[in-house]
Amino acid sequence: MHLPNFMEFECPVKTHYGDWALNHIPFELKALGAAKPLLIADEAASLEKRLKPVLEAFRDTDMTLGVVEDIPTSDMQNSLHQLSAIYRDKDCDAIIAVGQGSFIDLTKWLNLTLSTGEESLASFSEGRLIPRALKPLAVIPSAAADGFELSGYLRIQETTLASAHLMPQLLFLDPRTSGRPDDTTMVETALNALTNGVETFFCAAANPMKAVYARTATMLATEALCQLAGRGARDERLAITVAHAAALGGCALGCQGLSTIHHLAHAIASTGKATPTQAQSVLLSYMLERRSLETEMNVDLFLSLAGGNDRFARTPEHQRSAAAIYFLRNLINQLFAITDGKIGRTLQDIGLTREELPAIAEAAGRRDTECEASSLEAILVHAWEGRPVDGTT
Amino acid sequence: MTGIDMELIYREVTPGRSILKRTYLRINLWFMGRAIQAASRVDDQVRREFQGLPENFTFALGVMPNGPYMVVRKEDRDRARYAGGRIEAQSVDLTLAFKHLEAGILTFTFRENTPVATARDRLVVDGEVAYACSVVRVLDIVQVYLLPKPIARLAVKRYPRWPLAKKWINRTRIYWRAVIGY
Repeated sequence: MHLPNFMEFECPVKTHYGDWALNHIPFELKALGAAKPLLIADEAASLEKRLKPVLEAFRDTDMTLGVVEDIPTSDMQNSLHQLSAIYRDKDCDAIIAVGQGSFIDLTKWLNLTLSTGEESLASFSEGRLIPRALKPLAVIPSAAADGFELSGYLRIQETTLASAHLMPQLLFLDPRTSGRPDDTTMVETALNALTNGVETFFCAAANPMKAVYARTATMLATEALCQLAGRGARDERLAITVAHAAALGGCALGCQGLSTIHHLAHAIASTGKATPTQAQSVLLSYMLERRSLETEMNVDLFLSLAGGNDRFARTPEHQRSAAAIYFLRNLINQLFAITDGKIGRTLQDIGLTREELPAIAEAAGRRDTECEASSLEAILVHAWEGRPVDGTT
Repeated sequence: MTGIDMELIYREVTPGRSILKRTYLRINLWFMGRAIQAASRVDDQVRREFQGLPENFTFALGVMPNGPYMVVRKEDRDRARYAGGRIEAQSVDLTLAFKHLEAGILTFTFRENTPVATARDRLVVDGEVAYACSVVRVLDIVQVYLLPKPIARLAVKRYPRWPLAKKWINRTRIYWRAVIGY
């Protein structure tokens, strides 16, 4: 095993996964010194009645919970004010969040505000430290996650904070709360998880500790995507598998940080023509190809992670890299058909024009440390045309 | 429940108790305690396990946070006495507690045996681990006596190969002693 000369790793999230996982919440909160949690849920969780199993998990515990449902994320500031006031007035001492996406960003912001007394994110952007000991925070996401819930990223409008201390202390994944989203939503969630896992696994700063999360996220995400694409029988626990993959991908992202593909996807999403997920799913194979050519990074392992050890073993050594990329592109092509084009095969499919690519590359290049704008533009051109990266451009 | 007239509606919820499940567990633990007491007078293996425990050793098995519990105390050299269901009324050297009622129900409805419950982190052990292993072995032996084979196979890690006579005679003796409390 190759160990780098120096490495750092921190992942403070304790994961509870599987049947009756929710019933561990009272014990875990008591271990963190909490006696009256505030249970908050976004609109989707309230609609899908995902609070009921959480409340049932507190039977026989003699604990009282404060409950606020149907929290909108359209006006985060207003929601933050009200939730902070409720938390303080009602003497709550922990937060349980049922939801995903921007709602979890709101939850992290709430936790930061309650723990530090500082509501403005600008002070943290300018250098104020985020303390290690925030209020106990438990997150219960569903299979409609965006992959950032368990990461240390807090994204509110144009402000992004990144710290391992922002990662929730507790994660609960239970079949009763993983929801039943439609196939397209699960595909998007799994693709987010796949991107986060692959980018962490194959980045220059990877180490064996991060690899554990990244590898598992990649394998679970690929397993789910294959089922969603119609390859093989669909498991009845598909939704919780997707939620688990997204959570692990988020942990991997929290340990590793944003990579080139995230910056590119963010720049593409800024045009308003595609979501970050749509952009990432197109770009992933081209980024892997570029890394294998320019940095001589060994992407053969992706075939083992995604295709299984049998496929890896029966593929000749010098064909594995190409086979890995082919596997990924073939999967994306199948998902293109399954989702009626919502997941694109190329950047052209998701609505970008050739003329927009230089500006996107420049915007991404300002944030990215791995590639220059010219390299990014080359990747975008290949991804737009659907032409494999061959090292000639 | 209280409501506050704000844009976001706040309410307080105190989820109740599962009376049926608690009663089922209470009865199970009560009978199990008396069966351990009986088994310590009937079975050689159980007596050997108790010989290895310290004098007046007391252990409890139950469910957090509010019970029910079963408390058993070692007396003499190798006997056990069922000491009731109140853990707060006496000093206990070893506590094996399920983190929540559902974990206890999973074990006592034989959907998860004790090793699986431990592997899934549903059980908390407060005390010496070596003594906890002895207690689990005693529980396994008692469950083999109390339960029919198809169910006992689910409850224990490995079903023992005992002579049929030993199993049936001891089973009768343990059931009788557990019912009369001696």
